[in-house]
Amino acid sequence: MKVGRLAYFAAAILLMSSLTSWSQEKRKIIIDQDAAGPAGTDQQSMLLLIQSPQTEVLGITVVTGDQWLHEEVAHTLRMLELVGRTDIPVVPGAEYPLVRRQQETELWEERYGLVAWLGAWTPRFFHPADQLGEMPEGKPTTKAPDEDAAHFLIRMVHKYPNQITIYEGGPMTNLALAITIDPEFAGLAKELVFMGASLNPRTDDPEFVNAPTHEFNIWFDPEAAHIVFQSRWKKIVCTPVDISVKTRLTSDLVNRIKAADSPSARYIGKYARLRGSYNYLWDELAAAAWLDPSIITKKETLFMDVDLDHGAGYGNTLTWVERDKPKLDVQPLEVQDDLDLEKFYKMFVELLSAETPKKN
Amino acid sequence: MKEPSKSMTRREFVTSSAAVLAAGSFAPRTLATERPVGSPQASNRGPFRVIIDTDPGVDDALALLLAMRSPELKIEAITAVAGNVPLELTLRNALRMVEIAGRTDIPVAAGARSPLVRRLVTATYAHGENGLGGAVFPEPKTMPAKEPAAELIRLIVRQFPGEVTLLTIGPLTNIATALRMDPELARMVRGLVMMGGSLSGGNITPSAEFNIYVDPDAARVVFQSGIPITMVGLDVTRKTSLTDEHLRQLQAGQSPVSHAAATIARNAIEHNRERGFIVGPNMHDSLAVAGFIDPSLLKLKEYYVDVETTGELTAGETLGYSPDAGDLRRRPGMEKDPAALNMSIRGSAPTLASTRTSPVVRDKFVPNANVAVDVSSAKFFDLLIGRLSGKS
Repeated sequence: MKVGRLAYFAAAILLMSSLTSWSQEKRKIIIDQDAAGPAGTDQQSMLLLIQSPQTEVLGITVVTGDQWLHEEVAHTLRMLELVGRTDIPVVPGAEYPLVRRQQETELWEERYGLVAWLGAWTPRFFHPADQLGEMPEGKPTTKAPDEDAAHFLIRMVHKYPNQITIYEGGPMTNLALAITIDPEFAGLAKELVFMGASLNPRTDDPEFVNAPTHEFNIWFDPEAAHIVFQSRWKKIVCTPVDISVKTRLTSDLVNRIKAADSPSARYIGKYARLRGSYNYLWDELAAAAWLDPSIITKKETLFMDVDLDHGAGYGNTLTWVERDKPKLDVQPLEVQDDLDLEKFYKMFVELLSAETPKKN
Repeated sequence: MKEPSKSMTRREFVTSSAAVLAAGSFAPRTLATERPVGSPQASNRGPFRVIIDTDPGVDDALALLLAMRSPELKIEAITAVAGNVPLELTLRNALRMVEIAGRTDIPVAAGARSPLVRRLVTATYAHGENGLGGAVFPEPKTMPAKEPAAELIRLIVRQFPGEVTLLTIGPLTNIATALRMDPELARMVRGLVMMGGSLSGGNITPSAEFNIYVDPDAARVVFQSGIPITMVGLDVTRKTSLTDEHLRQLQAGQSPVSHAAATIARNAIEHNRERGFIVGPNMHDSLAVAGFIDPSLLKLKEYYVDVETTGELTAGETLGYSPDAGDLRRRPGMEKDPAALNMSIRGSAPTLASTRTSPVVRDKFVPNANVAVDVSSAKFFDLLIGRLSGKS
């Protein structure tokens, strides 16, 4: 009788605690991504956010960057099919940067030297914007909704004011459009978290040795980044190249994920790319640091803008501290400097090995 | 990583796709498209679906009233943009105009508060603090549409693909935003008629016309979009000036529209006179609207138009390229010479650091705009004053 009562009591406590955790709201996030695929940093970062049981991914908005918009949408739809999360909408956005043009960029290169990574415009991989390129993972059968990214973003922040984190892993064209259309957009979001910008990375990577403040996401659409940095967000968190270059995707990490037999692990095992010596976990770190801020061991506050003069420095990152910042409107950013690498890798492996959480 | 899927180089692709795009919208292509002013031309029968993007603005207000008094136009929406005055005022002024014209069935949407990249420059010196040259009208009671301008433009164009003409009489921020957020939109627009630009010198700077000057980046997006463009710029709007006689005719009208038009016109003429101008106010925006209603008012000529976006002194300048533009190239019979079509279009001379001229805009002449080069001013004012005063 006594034992029975205890068990009853324990069961009640268990029930209560599980009820509390049930009622705890998941963290809402919208992913804006130049979602090249299959796998690679763009897809892997999205997968991390989807795999985390603490998040509710309201949607994925797509923008031309690493690849063209249409193929990125296809890769993302397919990835969601493979992990069984086709409930997450994939919303197409901008096909071209606001102002930058491919032709102008070619002339720039003639004058100032080759750009290490041109994304969708890289000559080796180039194909027209409306073609899909290779899709080894298969073509998707699901479709994108009939809405554009900017309006999806605006609609969502009005629906859930002050609750949504905007995660940005690509050029900021869609965000800039949302801000231009609805000046309240930035203020209604909870925060902006982005991978981008480069300050002074310590690396022997030829991409950055002679061009330390050049970073693709900012460079590909400088005007968009400028519009985003000028806006009144409640909080901006920046994962710059400086911290990205401290990470690597190794065959050891891929093998540890492969050892599991979940849809996500199979996807990574099959399509993860390990060529060359600079396989950084660019976007994955920005996602992981948002999931668990204790991964970041050092950070600082900086003010940021973009060089918009169409000269040698067009698209380069500009930063200041409080003391020397310009008189123009610039917003403070939380910039990540250093990380607990083992903690990050552990989380990376655990999340990508796990079974994909179902829709709420 | 992937191998290239096609052997075409980037440059080949860019030029060929651009050529296909432009040729598609203007075909069949000939150079001899000049039409004498006032010649009988298949006039627009209509009604044609239009969206008016505007920054009222004294002459914008008159242009809006003209449009709403014109049965050839089916106005699907009026979208406001910051320009002559800030958005708060252009939006309210647009709402005032639909109320005056009794056309509150037309949705009026709020658009961009500032240009894409640059800071807003207004022209209150010309349009007064309220944007209507000091003409006072009651506060509007009508509410703006719930959709922002760029979204409304997108929804309407997609609802009637191939049918909607954009009439833009302000800076092009809203249009560029809509085109960038929906990559397919440009192909679904029937055409774009703009008041903006000049091939013969500017008004706010020696090189730039105001609408393009305010947002040159947006203007460039529009000119490179592939939409068939009719550019009604200072080249012709300078030749229209509102006189005391026009004002007298407006004042003789008996409708709320004629009263409002007369009030705005009187203020504009007085303001001009106070500033010591010899000629009356130019009817920039009304001419663009009228030119769409009656194409025989304007003489058009094909150009490839590009916008200077970076010049330290010249940002906002529109440049018109044509095989027979420029003294070095002009010779009799030029417009019939097919070789002239192969003229390459070049920018500034190479510097020591570069081997090519920069920016090379096109390897070949492919027009992207019909530019108004002459106007029948008397015929235009017959139309404008006739409709505003309620006589026609």
